[in-house]
Amino acid sequence: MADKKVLFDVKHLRQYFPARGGKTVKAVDDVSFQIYEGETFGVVGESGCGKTTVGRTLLGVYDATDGQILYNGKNVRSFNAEDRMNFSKNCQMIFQDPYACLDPRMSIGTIVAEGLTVHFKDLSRQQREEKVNQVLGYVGLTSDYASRFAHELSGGQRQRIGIARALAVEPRFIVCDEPIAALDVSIQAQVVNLLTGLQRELGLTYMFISHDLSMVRHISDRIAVMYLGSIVELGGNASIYGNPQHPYTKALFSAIPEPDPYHSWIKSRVHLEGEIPSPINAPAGCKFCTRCPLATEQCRKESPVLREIEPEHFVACHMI
Amino acid sequence: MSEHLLEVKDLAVSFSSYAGKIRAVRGVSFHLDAGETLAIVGESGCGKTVTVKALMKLYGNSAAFIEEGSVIDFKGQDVVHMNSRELSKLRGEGIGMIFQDPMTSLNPTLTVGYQIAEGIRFHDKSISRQAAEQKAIELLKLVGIPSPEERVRQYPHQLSGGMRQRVMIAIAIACDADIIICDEPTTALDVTIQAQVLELLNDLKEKTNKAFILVTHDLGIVFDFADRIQVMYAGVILERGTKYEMFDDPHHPYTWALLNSVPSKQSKNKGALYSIQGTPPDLMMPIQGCPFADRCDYCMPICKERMPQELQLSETHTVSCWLEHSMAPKIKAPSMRGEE
Amino acid sequence: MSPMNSDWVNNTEGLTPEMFKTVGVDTTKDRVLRPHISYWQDAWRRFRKNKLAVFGLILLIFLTVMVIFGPIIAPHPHQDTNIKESYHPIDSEYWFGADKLGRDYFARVWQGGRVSIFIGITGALICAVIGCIYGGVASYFGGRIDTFMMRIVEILSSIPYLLVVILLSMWMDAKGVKTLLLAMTLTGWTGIARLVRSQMITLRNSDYVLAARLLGVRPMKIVTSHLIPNTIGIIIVNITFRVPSLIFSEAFLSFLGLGIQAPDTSWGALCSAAQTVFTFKPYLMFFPAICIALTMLAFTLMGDGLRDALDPRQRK
Repeated sequence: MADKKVLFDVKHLRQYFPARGGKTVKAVDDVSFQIYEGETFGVVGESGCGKTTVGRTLLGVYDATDGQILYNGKNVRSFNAEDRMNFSKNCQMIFQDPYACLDPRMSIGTIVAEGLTVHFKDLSRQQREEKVNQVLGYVGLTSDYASRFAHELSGGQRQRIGIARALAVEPRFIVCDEPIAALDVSIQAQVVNLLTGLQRELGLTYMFISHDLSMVRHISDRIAVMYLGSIVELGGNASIYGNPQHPYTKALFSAIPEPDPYHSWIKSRVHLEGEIPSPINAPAGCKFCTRCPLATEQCRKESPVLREIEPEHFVACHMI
Repeated sequence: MSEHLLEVKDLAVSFSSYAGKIRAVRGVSFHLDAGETLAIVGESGCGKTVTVKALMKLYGNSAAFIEEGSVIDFKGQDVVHMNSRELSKLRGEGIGMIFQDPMTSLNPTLTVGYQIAEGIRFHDKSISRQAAEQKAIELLKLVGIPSPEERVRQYPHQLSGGMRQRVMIAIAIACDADIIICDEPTTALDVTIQAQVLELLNDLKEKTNKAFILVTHDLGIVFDFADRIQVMYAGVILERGTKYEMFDDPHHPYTWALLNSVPSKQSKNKGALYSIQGTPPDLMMPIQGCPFADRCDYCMPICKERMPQELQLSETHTVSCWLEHSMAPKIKAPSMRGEE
Repeated sequence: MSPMNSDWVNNTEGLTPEMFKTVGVDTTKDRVLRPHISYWQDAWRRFRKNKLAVFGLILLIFLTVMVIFGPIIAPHPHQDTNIKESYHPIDSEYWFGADKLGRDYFARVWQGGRVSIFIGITGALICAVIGCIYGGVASYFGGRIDTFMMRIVEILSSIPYLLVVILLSMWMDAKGVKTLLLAMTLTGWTGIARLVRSQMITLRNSDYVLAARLLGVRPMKIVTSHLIPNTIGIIIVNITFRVPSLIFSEAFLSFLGLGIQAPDTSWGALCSAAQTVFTFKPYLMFFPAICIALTMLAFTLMGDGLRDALDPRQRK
């Protein structure tokens, strides 16, 4: 892992949105992490944790309020037009809602080829068609899908088209924003298998954003656990799931339903009282202090920073 | 007269749409006793929600209809042929229901207290407004909502998702129903909130003698919460049994697939998850043979021709699959949950 | 549980070993099962199923044919006066009778129809064009420009258009088709401007537009390939509903004497002229009024049908 090339280096990223009444929603509040080439970087958390916002800010959907994003060592703010072209070719996204991510008026072939007209301008019509068929093949669909329309396809098929559209421009990095949340269980497995297979074949790097902890555990190499806009714990799959340190991480993981009739996870979980506060009224100091069983005065005043407690395992907590 | 609290025989429910008749439920039979929890598991479109809504005839006669020959027997009463007065009594007092999405299941223009008290006052015409509100406050306390005296006057939008779901639970148990149906009660909630709500339901289950029917697609929940599990697909039950039987000794390929699709602690990182190919069948067509045949890895020609009958493996465990036939090859269940 | 007959597992009657050979999943079957139709074909299919909408369409076609050919097939030209035949009753020679000046009323009514429908459709189209451009520009720029443009819309839409028409005709010292059109479209485009703007804003926030942006598609291309095609449906429906309201407005204004003047005529003008003799010759008002009502009905029914047919959410 230490020799791996750093694809993204994010430093103190902040993304604030104005809300009504002059308030601010601190969707992402001082987040730092790195993504290495070839890995799957999982980001988990519950509502309001900012994981989707992080993904979108990374790709430039929003201009970061503050902080630095370095792509291949270069600051995204200092991109020239050529860099931006390169970036949009190499960094793509797949979306959560398969029923909203495809234009209902366009044929599937046109949708998949959309990126080709930008990044592969010199292709002849036939070459373009071939590429579309090739990419449809990658996602396990036959070429006759190209003349269909979104409303004729099921959720799982639509999600595959979304993946095909992203693959068409031959990206290196894909942000997967809750790609399976809206799908049935057996279809989820299909799509996840597809993603892992593609990663192996094409050497892709993923940022896998999800609230489905079991799936993230299954697919990720490194994981960031987010709560109310901050990363509370960051590390490799084995250390995070095997040895969670942060009180929130412990509570979160113990709440994962585990299918086992002999062991009641409901009874043995770590209890977490209270509700998740809204990102507008985030507590000062540690975001988790209102619900944390270990909270002290220091926690309420001071925001903890990520500290390395063992190799490649970081926790943001005063009490560890 | 059935010796069970609820007995359902050959339930068939169809919808008429502009394109034809959709047979959502095609002959489902099961029973439920007091204090038991039954889980109905399946993916979207399998008919599980239609089945439980039919138990209270929640569809009315316009959109859906229960086919003749269906029997729903609740405490000796014939639900299928109940008139509207009897149905009103059944709903709330006999059977209560918790819906999936707390955001859309509560009336945004009425206070939470009013909505809880509504059912109470409907079933008990003699109770006063204040007494009903008092009961509502007690119920809010029971479902774990802090400061119930304040909350009772609040509106749904002032509560979080988890609290709204607790209010739904309060409404469902307000009239002391014998059966509580939970239709995907935690799908729309965050993980930690889901755990809180399930713990509440578990508490209720242990403290009262109510029976629960849990409808869900999340296998992780059922093995903890339910006593018996039945797996539905395309309107029929493919396999059912106690949770131990379904976990240790599942017989139907669809059950194997469902169990395997969920990655668990033991599954290999980035290993291939067992996935089912294809998509669920079109419910407008009458299905010949087993509805799962098109997607089953172990499909045989006979599966496409005839629907297999039910085989009783134990008093509680049944399965409908041609693999059970003496002439079929003996298939060993694939290693569950990707264990190496 | 009712006792189950589990003997079937051993019942081999009529069964051969062939039936029990594992064949697995037929992978060629993972096909899209429904026949392949585009969005517009699907919309047409849904429209066709709506009987009222189809009735509206047929009615409209009928009215259009009559309006085009009516004055031609009429027994007498519409403008020929013939005092001797004043108020000629309805018979085989004068199909709708004759008016005060002896003109063939059948021809008059359909001639008037040309004007009324022309004004309705032209007015609706002009409003649509202005509204689309205005709403598109407002939504494209957003921010202060958008707010400013929408405030103008609000102000304009609060002015009663009758006032506008009267002032305009006084100012222009002319009455007739041009003034009428000007008056009706001066403030009539505000509704569609709002619609287009809000639709564009919604679309801009949709996932597939975001996907296009991330793919590097230029903003103009996004507008032409995503935003416009997904807005056309709404625009068509709006135009379809606008036409009857403009026809009625014209009728109303002409009825008041502010619209079409003699010797031109429109349905409203005919009704206006028929007022004074209504008690004696009701048919003079009856025919144009029925035509107005039928035309409005036709467009409204069609509009309803189109709206349902073009709404992607209703897709089964």
